[in-house]
Amino acid sequence: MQLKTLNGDVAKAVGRGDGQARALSDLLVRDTPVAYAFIAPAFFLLLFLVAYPFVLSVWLSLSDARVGETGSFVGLENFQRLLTSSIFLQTLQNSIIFTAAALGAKTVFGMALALLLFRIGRFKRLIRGAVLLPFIVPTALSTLVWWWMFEPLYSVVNWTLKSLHIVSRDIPWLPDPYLAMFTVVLVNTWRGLPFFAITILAGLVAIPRELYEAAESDGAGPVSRFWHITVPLLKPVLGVVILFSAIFTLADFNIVYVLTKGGPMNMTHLFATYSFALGLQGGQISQGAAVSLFLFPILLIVVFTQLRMVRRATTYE
Amino acid sequence: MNSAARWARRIRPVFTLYVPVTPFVLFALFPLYFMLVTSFKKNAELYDVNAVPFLIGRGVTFGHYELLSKDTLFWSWFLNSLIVSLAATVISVVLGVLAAYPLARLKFPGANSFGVAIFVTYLVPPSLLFLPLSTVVARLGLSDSLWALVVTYPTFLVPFCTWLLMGYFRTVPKEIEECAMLDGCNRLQTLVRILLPVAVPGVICAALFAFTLSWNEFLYALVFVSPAELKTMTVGVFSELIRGDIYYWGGLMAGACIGSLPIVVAYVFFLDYYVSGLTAGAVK
Amino acid sequence: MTRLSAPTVLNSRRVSRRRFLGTTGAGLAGVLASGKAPAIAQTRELTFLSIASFVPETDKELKRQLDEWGAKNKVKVRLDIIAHLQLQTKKAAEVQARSGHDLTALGPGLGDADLYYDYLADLNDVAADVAPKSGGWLNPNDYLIRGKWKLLPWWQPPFPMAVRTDLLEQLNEKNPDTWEDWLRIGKKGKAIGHPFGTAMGHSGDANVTLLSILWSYGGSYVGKDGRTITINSKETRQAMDFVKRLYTEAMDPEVLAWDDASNNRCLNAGKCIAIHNPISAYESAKKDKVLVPGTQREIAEVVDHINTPRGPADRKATTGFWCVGIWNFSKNQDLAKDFLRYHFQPDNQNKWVDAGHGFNMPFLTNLTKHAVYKSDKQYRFIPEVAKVTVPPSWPGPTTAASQQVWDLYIIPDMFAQHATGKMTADQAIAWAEKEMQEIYAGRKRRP
Repeated sequence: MQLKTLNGDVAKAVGRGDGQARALSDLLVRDTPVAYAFIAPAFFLLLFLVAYPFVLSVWLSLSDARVGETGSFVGLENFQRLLTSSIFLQTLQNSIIFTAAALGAKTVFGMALALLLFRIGRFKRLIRGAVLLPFIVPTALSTLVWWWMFEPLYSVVNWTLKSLHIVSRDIPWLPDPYLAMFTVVLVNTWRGLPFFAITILAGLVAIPRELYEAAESDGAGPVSRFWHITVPLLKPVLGVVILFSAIFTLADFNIVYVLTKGGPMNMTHLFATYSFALGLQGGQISQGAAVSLFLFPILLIVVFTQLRMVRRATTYE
Repeated sequence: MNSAARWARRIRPVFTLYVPVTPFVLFALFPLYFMLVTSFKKNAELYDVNAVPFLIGRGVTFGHYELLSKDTLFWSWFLNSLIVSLAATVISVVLGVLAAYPLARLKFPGANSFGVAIFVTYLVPPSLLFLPLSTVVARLGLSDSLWALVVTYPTFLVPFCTWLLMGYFRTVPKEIEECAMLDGCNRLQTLVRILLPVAVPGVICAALFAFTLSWNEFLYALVFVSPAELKTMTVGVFSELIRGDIYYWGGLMAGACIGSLPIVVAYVFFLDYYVSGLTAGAVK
Repeated sequence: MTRLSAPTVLNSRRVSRRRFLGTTGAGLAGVLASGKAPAIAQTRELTFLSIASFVPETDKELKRQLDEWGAKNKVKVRLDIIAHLQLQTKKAAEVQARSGHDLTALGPGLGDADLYYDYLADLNDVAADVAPKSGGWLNPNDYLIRGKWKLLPWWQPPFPMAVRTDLLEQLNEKNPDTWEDWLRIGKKGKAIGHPFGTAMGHSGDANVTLLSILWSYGGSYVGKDGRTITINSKETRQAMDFVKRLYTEAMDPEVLAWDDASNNRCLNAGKCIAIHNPISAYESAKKDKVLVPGTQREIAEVVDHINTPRGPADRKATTGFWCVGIWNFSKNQDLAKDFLRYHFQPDNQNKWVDAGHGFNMPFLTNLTKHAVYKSDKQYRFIPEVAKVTVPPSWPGPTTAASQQVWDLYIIPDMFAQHATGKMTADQAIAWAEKEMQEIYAGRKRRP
């Protein structure tokens, strides 16, 4: 099995000096203006509607602006002040735990679900559709359902556990700080699992069967096949899915806001919810922006490196 | 192979596949089942601590749906969400297709940077971005009209659609395009007449994603549109059915049920395209 | 089932959508070319952003008054309602964009006016015009922001104590009046499965009740100058110890996760023996004909509302101070002021309070004597509670900093951290002091 890069194709063709290859490379050079023309609409949309607010958001975090005022530049003072705030440090810890736990759960269970979906023959459509539903239902409303399911008085979860005699008293899902974090991670996993499962499934479908058959005839068992064929070949897919999910999970607002509002005692505050409380409710937009963008430099580096790895388009031979 | 082995072979998948997948299906469906049941429960039973939460013991009621339908502008909101989502989806897919093609096929200066820049736009969360964006929207005179949403939604839809379609286009063999071009087609014709028909699954996949994300969007719809009759579905439901410290649970769940229907219907029809669209797109 | 009623704006609905689908395309091109929002020539317009009131009839009455005024003065009017939790987001966006509604609800505190001081129109004249006919404002100084009228205090839901009289009888208790009484009752009630309940998490109710307790024990968090942090005191420690006992002996741990609606549910589900809450719980129990579990009796019949409790030092409470203001970037400020004068006229206020069944109490003296408070035995203490209700920033003036202390739930967290044993009283007070100092420091005015 050989892995080649697409670039290699063209390079070889050009190097060969064929008439056809020369026509190809001519086309390539001539196409730069065409490429720009095609990209232009998207480019301008993003430039006007994203670049300007984006730059302004970054400016906000580096200034002492309040709502409506532009404020003046203060450098990294907002970030420094955050590092001395106990609520922010708690938020930082919460966010890391939340993202790590949710990503871990989604990766592991997503992989398991994908493997199952891959092999299921009967009721394929039904099962895949059912599994996709959490992703489809409007988030604002599905989070409300979860809140109602854990609501101290009427919690159906507690009712079930008590009926099955697994517990004798109500479990304080939302009032207890650690259980509250568990609950929030659970809801995020519920919502994000379909995305992981279906995308990994797509990756699984693309792995050629011959590889498995060859390995099997060489005597490799299912576990060995999984670790030495499936996982390595899924790396590009996993890479992109985890990257996307990390960005969106870190920025999650709705779940914590509806379920706990950051409590109890700030133990479930995430960047987005704390930024909301600080910036929008308190009017300290600049500090709220600093909270939101705290991980921005790190995320930028992560995005760069991940994309570099994934964009090296690989083809199978 | 004797009959025992054959029987074992047929039964085994039940245990190694269907049994393990059941918890996943239950986990995914349970809250939605609960949503459905709650929307048909009478208030008295809903708020009774001793009632069984899973089942409707004291009679089904359509009262919550009636409340939603007659006493609120629910159907207007529904229509607004539909209009906005469809429009935003069309725009995003078109822009995504146009942008994905050069990124997938052509080499030109700035290709790499543009690809990364697209991703970087996701790093500023909407919970922060909406503030400066509201200034832009106001200056364009779009406040309080559905246009504000149709114009701003593509900002978070286009990058994802582009990425998805880019990956998908790469899996289509280049030869057919090259033949067409050597026969005299220009790039645009090649894209529309040759590549798109083959890439239909990818396009449908991108469209479904875009529609889902638009339909579920809450923040921009809340901030940019105020008039009652122009609200989108989730914003409207929230503002009418959460009053002070009273939540109209039955109505909220009814709204959630009806509100999920269009997308569920869309996915039922296009599920296969969705999966196959991701299949090629995600890997390459 | 509560009936909500949609405004019958069929025609305007169709027109607005047709306008969108048809002509906005051309308009957009023109707008982009000219670079600013098109002015709608000639028609006078007024827009009002308000929150969905707990009693839907209140919104309807407000709309009716707005429509009536609009017809009389030939002004096109629009009332937009959003959920109260989303008001903050919307306000920030409108201020940031310098464009939005003319009149806006502000709240749930007066602090908004300090926060948006530079964007609100002066209302000194309207305040002065409105007061005399209604017996004057309750506590005029409370509503001044940096010495000026930047908003009109609009309505408040006073917080009496709602109690299950049947359970009180069962426990042989009568006429509880102090916070200590409630601790004793709660303890007895918890033993028979009916604990006391008051929110201690991130919710408005938690802020209200815990501040009330703090003040009732003689403590406070800020001084009269509105700048000195006074939380570190013997009285605060007394209050903290009381709340710790209340939490461990008389309440269930779930109160740490309660939102504003949870205590309503606790009472109406028959669980809680008493809650510190406006009459909203009682009202919804009446409407839904909720029964005492295991009986055929309506719970509304055995609920009574009595005065907010007294502490060793004082009887004090607070609540959400909902206000209304006019953005100074509005192009219709005079029209807006005119409507405010119209809405705050005694007969319109009377009708409005009527529609709210006494839930929304204005800040005008005569209206605290409105007949609705005698219409139901339950409401008899509401005016009394209003008398001892002060803004959350008491004893200091309302500032953006005091508002932020409210918004970040510093007081509830302080009490909760000690009550759950996470911190000692000294640690919790030190934590709160530090947080508040940070907040107040960040608020120093630039010269």
